[in-house]
Amino acid sequence: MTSHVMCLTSSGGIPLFVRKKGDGDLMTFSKIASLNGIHMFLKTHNIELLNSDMADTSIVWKEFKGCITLIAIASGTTKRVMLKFLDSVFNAMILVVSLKDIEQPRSVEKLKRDLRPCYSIIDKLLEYLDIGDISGTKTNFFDLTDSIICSENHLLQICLDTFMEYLDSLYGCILIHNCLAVATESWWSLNPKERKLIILAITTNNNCGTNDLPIFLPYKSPNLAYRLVNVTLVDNIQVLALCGPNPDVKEIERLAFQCWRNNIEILRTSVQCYPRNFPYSISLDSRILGFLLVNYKIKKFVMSRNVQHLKNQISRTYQLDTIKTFYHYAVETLFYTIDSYTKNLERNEEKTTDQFKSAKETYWSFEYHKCHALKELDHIICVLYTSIVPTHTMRLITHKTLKIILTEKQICW
Amino acid sequence: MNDPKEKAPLYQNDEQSYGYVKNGKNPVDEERECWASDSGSSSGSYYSNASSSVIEWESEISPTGEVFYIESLMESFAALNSNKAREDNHYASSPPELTRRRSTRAGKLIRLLKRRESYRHSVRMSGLASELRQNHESISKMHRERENFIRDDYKMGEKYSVNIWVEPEKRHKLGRRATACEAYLGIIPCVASDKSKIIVAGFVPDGEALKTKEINVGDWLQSINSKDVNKYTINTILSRIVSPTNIHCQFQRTCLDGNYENYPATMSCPNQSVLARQLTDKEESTILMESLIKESLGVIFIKTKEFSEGESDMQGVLYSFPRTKTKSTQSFLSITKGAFITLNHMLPDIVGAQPISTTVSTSTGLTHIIYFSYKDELLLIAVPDKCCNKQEAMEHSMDIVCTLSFMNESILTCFEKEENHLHLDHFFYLFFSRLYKDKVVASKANSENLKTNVNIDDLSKYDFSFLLPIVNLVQLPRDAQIQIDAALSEMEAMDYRDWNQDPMECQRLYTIIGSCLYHRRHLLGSHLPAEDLIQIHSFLRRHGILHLINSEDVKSLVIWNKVYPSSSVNRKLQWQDESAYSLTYRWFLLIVGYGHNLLAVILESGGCTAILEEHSGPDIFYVEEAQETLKHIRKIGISALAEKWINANAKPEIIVPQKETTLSKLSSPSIAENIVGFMKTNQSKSISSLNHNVTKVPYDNISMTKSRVSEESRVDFNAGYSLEASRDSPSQDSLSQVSEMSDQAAPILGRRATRERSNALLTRYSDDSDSDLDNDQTGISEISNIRENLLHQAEYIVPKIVTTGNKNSLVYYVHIDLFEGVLISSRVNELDSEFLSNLNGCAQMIHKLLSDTKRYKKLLTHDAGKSVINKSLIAIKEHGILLEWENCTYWIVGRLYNSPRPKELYICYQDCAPQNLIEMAFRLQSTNH
Repeated sequence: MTSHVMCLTSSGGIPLFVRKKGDGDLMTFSKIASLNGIHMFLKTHNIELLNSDMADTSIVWKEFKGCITLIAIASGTTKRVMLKFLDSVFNAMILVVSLKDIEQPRSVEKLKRDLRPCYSIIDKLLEYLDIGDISGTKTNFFDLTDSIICSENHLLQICLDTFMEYLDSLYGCILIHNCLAVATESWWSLNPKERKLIILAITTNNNCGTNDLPIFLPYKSPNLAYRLVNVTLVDNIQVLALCGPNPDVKEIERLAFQCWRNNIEILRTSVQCYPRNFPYSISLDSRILGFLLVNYKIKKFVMSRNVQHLKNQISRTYQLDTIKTFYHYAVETLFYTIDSYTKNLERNEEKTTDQFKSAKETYWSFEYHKCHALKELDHIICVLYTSIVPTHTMRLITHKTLKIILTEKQICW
Repeated sequence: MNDPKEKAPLYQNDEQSYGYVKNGKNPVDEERECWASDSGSSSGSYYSNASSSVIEWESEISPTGEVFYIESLMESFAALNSNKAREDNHYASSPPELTRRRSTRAGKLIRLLKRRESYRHSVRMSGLASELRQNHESISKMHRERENFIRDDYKMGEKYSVNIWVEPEKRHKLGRRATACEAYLGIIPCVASDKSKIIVAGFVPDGEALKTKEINVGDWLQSINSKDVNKYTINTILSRIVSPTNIHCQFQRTCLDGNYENYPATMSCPNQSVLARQLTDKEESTILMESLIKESLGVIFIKTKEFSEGESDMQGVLYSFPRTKTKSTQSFLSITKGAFITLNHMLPDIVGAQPISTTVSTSTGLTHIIYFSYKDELLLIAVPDKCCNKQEAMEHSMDIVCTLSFMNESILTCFEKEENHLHLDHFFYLFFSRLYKDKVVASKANSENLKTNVNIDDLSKYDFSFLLPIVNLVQLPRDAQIQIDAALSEMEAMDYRDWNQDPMECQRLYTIIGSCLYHRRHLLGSHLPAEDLIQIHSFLRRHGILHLINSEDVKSLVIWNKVYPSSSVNRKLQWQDESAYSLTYRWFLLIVGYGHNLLAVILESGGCTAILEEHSGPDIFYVEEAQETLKHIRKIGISALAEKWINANAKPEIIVPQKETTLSKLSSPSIAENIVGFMKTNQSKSISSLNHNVTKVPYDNISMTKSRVSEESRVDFNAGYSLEASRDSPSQDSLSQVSEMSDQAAPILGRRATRERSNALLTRYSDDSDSDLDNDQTGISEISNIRENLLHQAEYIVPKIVTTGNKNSLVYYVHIDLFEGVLISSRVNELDSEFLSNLNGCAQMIHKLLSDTKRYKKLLTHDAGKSVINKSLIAIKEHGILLEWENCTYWIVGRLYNSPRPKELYICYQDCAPQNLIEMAFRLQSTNH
C-alpha cells in the first residue's frame, strides 16, 4: 500500500513537494493538479472539500493558513489519523522554514529549496501513517510522545535537571533508543506535536556525537528560531536541549561530559531496559503479550512487549500493529473527548466522541489474539493477550496490571 | 338473489368514495354493517360493498397500469386507542368482506365475472385485448367524469372578493421556504386536480388572510387585482408588489358544504390520514420540492460521457432533484457536480478504486455526497450531516438504489424516462422530508398528527439495524407459523379449479413467485428468496409504507407495481446467456394491506401464463385473492397473536435500565408481568403497554387477570390451573391439539381447510339456494377454532432468559442472519433515548468494523497480492464496549460468526455475569422451540 502527501500553494496551485511511501508510482503533476483543482473549484463556491473515501483508501484535503494546501492519500487508517498527519506535515514545514516564510515566501522556488530538509521528517511521518505494513520496527503516534520506563528514571531525572541548569535552558530530555526516558517539567508544556517533531528532527538527523540545529517551534515560536542541541552520552542515549544563542556547542559538550561522567553506569543499565521499555524487575502476567500505556492528559505513551513470547520479527511487528490499530480504531474513537484540535476539522467525529464519554472499556477478539483497553483517570491501557484468555479473566488482568504500574514506586514516568 | 350491479351502480359507488357520505357515517353503523356482512346474512349488501372496494382502488390505476392506493381508517385519529381496542376485540370488523366470494359457488362467480366484464380483466384468451381496452376506457371515463364533477362544483360556488393588506418587507418573516402565497397573503396554497388552480389549503397563523375571516379552506383563488392567477403566474404577480398596499383578491367558494377539512382528500383520494396523503400526493411533493432548493442536499443523475464543463450547464444531466421551474436558482449538486464527476473519473486512475463518498463543508454544515457509478452514468446523492452521519447516509443511499433497481429495469432507464420524473420527485421529496422532518414538515399545518404517532424513522436514530438491508422478523410460535405458511402457500398455488367451471379454457395470468407477510414493521413469514425479500423491504421502507402500517390503521391499501426482483432477473439473464429460453418475463409486485397487516406478493408473467398487454393494470382477481388471504390470516388470530408476541417481552425477556436504576426491582422476570402486559395489549393495544412500574402483581390479581383473559377469548381454563403448570403446558397443549387435528384428516390447515369444508357443503346443496349462511357459519366456526388455539398460546408467554447468571441481564439484542436476510431484535421503545443513542452509536461502530472484516476476508481470498488492507483488521470476530450509564455498567458486544452461516449478533447486557456470545446466539435462536 502506498501513501502519498502533496503540498501545493493555495493561490497558484504550484506543487512544493510530493512525498510517497510504498512501492507505488510517484504522483504525476497532472494528477496533483487535478486533485488540487477540485479543491479550488469548490472553494470558489464557498464549499470546502474535506475528504473522499474509497473502499479502503481515503484522500484528505486541508488548507493551512490560507496559503498551503496539503493532500494526503492513505489506506487502512482512520480520518482522524490522517488529519493529524497533515497537521504534523505542516508543522514540520514550519519547523524548518518558519511560518512567516511559508505565508509570504520571497519566491516559490526558494521556498521549495528551503523545504528540502524537512523531507526526511515527512518521510518518517509517512511511515507512522502506515499501519499493517511490516516495515517499521516501531509503533508511533503523531501526537503522543514515545516514552520508556526505566527503573533508573529517578536518577536520570536528577542528572538532567542539573545539566539543564548548567545550560540555562528549560526544555530538555533524555532519549533512550529514541524513546523519551525523562524530561524537564517545562518540556511537557510544549505542544505534544511539537515535542514529537523535535525528537523526530533529531532522530532523522542521525546519531553521531553532537548536533546543533536551528528550528522553529510551530506552536511556541513559529517565527523565531531556537537552537536544538543533542549530545550522545553513551550508545543509544542522547540528551536533548532547546537553548538560546549561548553557550556554543563545544561548551555544551564539555558540560555534558562534566555532568554525566559520574553516572555512566546508570546510563549503561538503563539502556538494557529496551526493548521491553519497562523495568524487567516488575513481572507481569505471563499471558500478556504486550501493552500500550497512554497518558492522554500529557500525551505520552509506553509500548511494552513481553520478550519471551517473541519468536520472530514478523510476529513482533504484527503484534505492535495490532495494538496500534486497536488503539486507532476502537480506543481513540471511544475514549477520547473532543480536544480543540478535532473541533474545527472533524465536526463529523465530534458527535461520536461526544457520545462515548461514558465508554469505560473495550475489547476486540481476533482469531489468535485478544485486545482489551481500559480507561482510568488520565490513563488508557491497551493489553494484548493470547486468544486462550477468557474475556472476563482478561479484564481482571488488565485492571491488575494498570494498578501495578500506577502504584509501583520504581516506576517513574 | 339480488343483483349486485343493479343495486350498486358504478358511479354511485364512485361518489361514495369521495367521502362525504362516509365521513358522516356513524362508526357504529359501519361496524354493524361489517358484522352483518361478516355473518353473511345479507348477500346483497356484501356484493355492493365488494364492488365498491374494487372500484375505489381501480380508479387509481395509472396509465402505466400501476396502482398506489391507500385508504385510512379515519376514526383512528379521533380515538386512536379506543379504536385499536375495538379492532382487537372485533377482529372481524373488516372492510368490504370478500371471503364469501371464495365460498360461493364457482358457477355463480363466473357469471358475476361475466357481467362485470367492463372493468374486469378476464383470464380468457379470446377477446382479452378488447376487454382491456374497454376496461381502460371505462376507467378514463370515470376520471373524466369525476373531473367534470369537481369542476362543476366550483362553478356553482359563490364568488366573492376580499381586500388583503400586503407588506412585502415582512415577507421574509416566515423564512425562505415559505411560498410567495404564504409570505404575501398568508394563504397556504394547494393546487387543484387540474394542476393550475390555486386552492386555499390553510392559513398562516396571524396572516392577513386569516384576519379577513371571509376566506374558507377549499376556496379557489381566481384573481389578484383582476389578474387571473394560477399555479404558474401567482409568484410573478405577487413579486411585482413592492410597496405595502391593499390588493384585491377574488375567490370562489366551493359548494361542498361543511367538510372543508377533508378538502384535499376529497379532491383526488379516499379517506386518508395526513401521513397516507403525504405518501400518495405526488403533486404536493413536486411543489414542496422547490422549497429544498437552497439546502445542501439533492440527487443528480448524469451521463458522464455527454457532460462537458463549458456548454449549457445541465448538459448530460438526466435528472436532478430538487429543481425549480425558473432556471435562476440551482440546487447544490447541479452547481458542484463538476467536482464530483472529476473525482469519480480520476480516482480510479490515481488510487485504483472507485470513490464511495466525499465529504464537504458548506455554509450550512457538512454534507456527504455518495457516489453510485455505472458504466457511463453517475448517480450522486447528497445528504447533510445534520440529518445523519456518513455511515447512515451511505446506508440510506444504498437503500434508495436498491428500491430504484427493484422498480426499474436499470438505474439508467429509471432516470432516463421523462414520465418517471414525477414519481422520482415524490420519492426523493419523501426521503429528504423525512430526514428533515422537524424542519420542513413542521412548517406545514398538519404536522401535529405526525408527531403524536410513533415515528418509525426515529427508530433509525435508535436502532442501527433499521437501516440495514435486512428484514426484522418476529418468530411466532410454530403453530402460527404453520398457519401463515399454509395460507401463503395456498394463495401462491392459485389453484383456481374451485372457482372456475372450466379450468381448461383459462390460462393463468400470473404465476406467483412468492409472498411475505408483515405485521407493523415486522415480518411474520416469507416465501421469498432473501434478495427479493430485501428488495421488497426497502421498497416498503422507502415509500413510507412500513411507517404507515406501523403507526396507523389502514382500511385498505393496494399497490401494484411493475418490478424487477433480482433473483428472477438474474435467472432470466442466466437463461439468456445459455440461450435456453428467450421468453419475455415481467414481474409485478402486489401489496395489499389492512389494519396493521400487509401482504406483499411477487407475480410473474411469462412462460406458461397468458400474454399480457403493455401497461395492463392489476387483475382484480389476484388482488382480491391477496386481500382475502390477508383477511383469513387476520381471522385466525395471527395479527392479534403477533401483537401480543411483539409486546410480550418474553422471547427472550429483556430488562429495562432506568434512571436511578434499582435493579432488584426490575429484574424480576415474572409471569405476572407478562399477563399484565397481555391484558393491557388486549384492552388498549398500545405499544407501550408493558408497564414496568407494575412489576409485582399479587397472586389474587393474577387469577383475576386470568379469568378476564379467559372470558375474552372464550377458552375454558382449568379451575386448578396453577402457575407452575402454566409454565410448560401451553406449548404442549397446542402441539397436541395440532396433532389431533392432523390425525383426524389429511393435514389441511388454514384457508384451505375452510374451503374444503365449504366445498363439501357445496356439493350437497343445489346450485342456487341461499346456502351462504350455512357455509360461512361452518367456515367461521372452523376459523375460530384455529384462532382459539393460536391465541391460547399467547395466554402465557413464558419468558425466556438467554443470559447466564442468577438474574436476567439482557437489555438489547439484534441477531442478524445474513443468509436469510432477516434479523430478530428486541424492542427499543422502553429504553431511555439517551441510553439508546449511545447504545446505537456503539452498535453501529461495531457493525462497521465487523462488516469491514468480512469484506477483507473476501478480498484476501480473491487477490491476496494486491491488498490495501490493514492486516490487523482481518481476523476480528468480536468487539465489546463497556458503557457506563447512571452508575451502572453495560456491555455492548458484537460478534461475527461464520459457521454454519454468516451471522452477526449484537447484545447489550448488564455487566454482572460474564456471557458467552455464541451460547447466547444459540439460545436466542431456539427461543421458540
